[in-house]
Amino acid sequence: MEQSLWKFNERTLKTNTKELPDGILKEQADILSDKTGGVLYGRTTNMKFRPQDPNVKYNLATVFDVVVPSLDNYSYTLLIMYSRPESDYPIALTSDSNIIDDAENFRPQYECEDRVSFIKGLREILSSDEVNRNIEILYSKACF
Amino acid sequence: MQELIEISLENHIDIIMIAESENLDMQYFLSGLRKNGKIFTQIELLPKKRGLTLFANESLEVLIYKEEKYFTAYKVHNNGKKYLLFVTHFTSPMYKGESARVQRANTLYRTIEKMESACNEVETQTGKRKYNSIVVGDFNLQPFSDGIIGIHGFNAIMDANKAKKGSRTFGESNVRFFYNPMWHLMGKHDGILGTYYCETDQEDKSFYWYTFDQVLLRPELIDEFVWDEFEIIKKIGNKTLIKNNRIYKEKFSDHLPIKFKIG
Repeated sequence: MEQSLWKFNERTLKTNTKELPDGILKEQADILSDKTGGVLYGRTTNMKFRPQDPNVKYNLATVFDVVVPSLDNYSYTLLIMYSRPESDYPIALTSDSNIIDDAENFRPQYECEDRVSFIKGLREILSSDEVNRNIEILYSKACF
Repeated sequence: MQELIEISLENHIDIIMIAESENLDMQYFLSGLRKNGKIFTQIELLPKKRGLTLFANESLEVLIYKEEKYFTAYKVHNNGKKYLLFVTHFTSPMYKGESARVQRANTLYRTIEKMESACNEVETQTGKRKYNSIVVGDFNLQPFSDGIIGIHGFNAIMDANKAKKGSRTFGESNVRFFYNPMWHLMGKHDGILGTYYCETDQEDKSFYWYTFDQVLLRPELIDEFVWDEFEIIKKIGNKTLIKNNRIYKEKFSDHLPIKFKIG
């Protein structure tokens, strides 16, 4: 008889990973879609990150884009989360930047050692005037 | 500015891509074209203010896809064909050495490749025709630089037949080719030797002429490339952009424009 030696199942896996950084980002992506009636949605894309400074410990970049389906899937990069594949924290956040500049001169706006500081940094970025202005522009272009 | 209008008209240009356009009087330019019966639109949404600008003839469907600091991506639809057009402007050698610029090119290529995949994934899911990519702009790297021809960069090669094979094996992965037609314009004895001229090479090499401005094509577009229309432009009307065997940058631009046609 088949016997699972794993400790998890799909339900526990979903519950437990929801509170990890990738899960939190995904949740915000879903909320963006809900709050805009599907006019905008969030998409995350993972990329290898090769910083020039060997002291920078991150080697995975998760790009958070806002996508506008009605503008032929135009996308705007809202933030980039830098992490290590093997650990949840620390992570770093940059906004209004890009992987090229970050690889060359890594100066993140936020370095987060735990969930609390990650949520704080993320909240500050998502509620910033510039992000909201850009969301309004995209929503307006998509709807009218 | 008047030269920009003239060059667009006399070369029957449909898409005009300009770097360092911060001081360009867009309205004057568009109005100058309009007076000559050409209706162009500036395509942008949330520009990153780095001077990359694209103007498209209204007869073409050009949609903005992504605006970044070092490139802007557009979807171009024409006669049922679909192109993903990346317009780029890399950092100048005045500010960064070759190895830093190569690193940037490698990173940029990975970004572009991700975008191509994401874009075509949607098309495949909906059973639509795929986009083929063109990357054009001021790379501030020569065609033989690691960032352009290297397998970790654009993998953009000079051999059209080899490029048509699509990719090369590297380790356990297949790395897709770009085709770089600029090799066929570089250093011609009866033509212009490059798109940029400089007497003080950062590494004391005696190039003088550099082919920093390039157009790279995915191999599927090689047969659509119109060779007779491909050139580095050296004259606008009766005005020459070259003086004393150098680019006449004091009067025009420090780069020469490239003209090309697909399809």
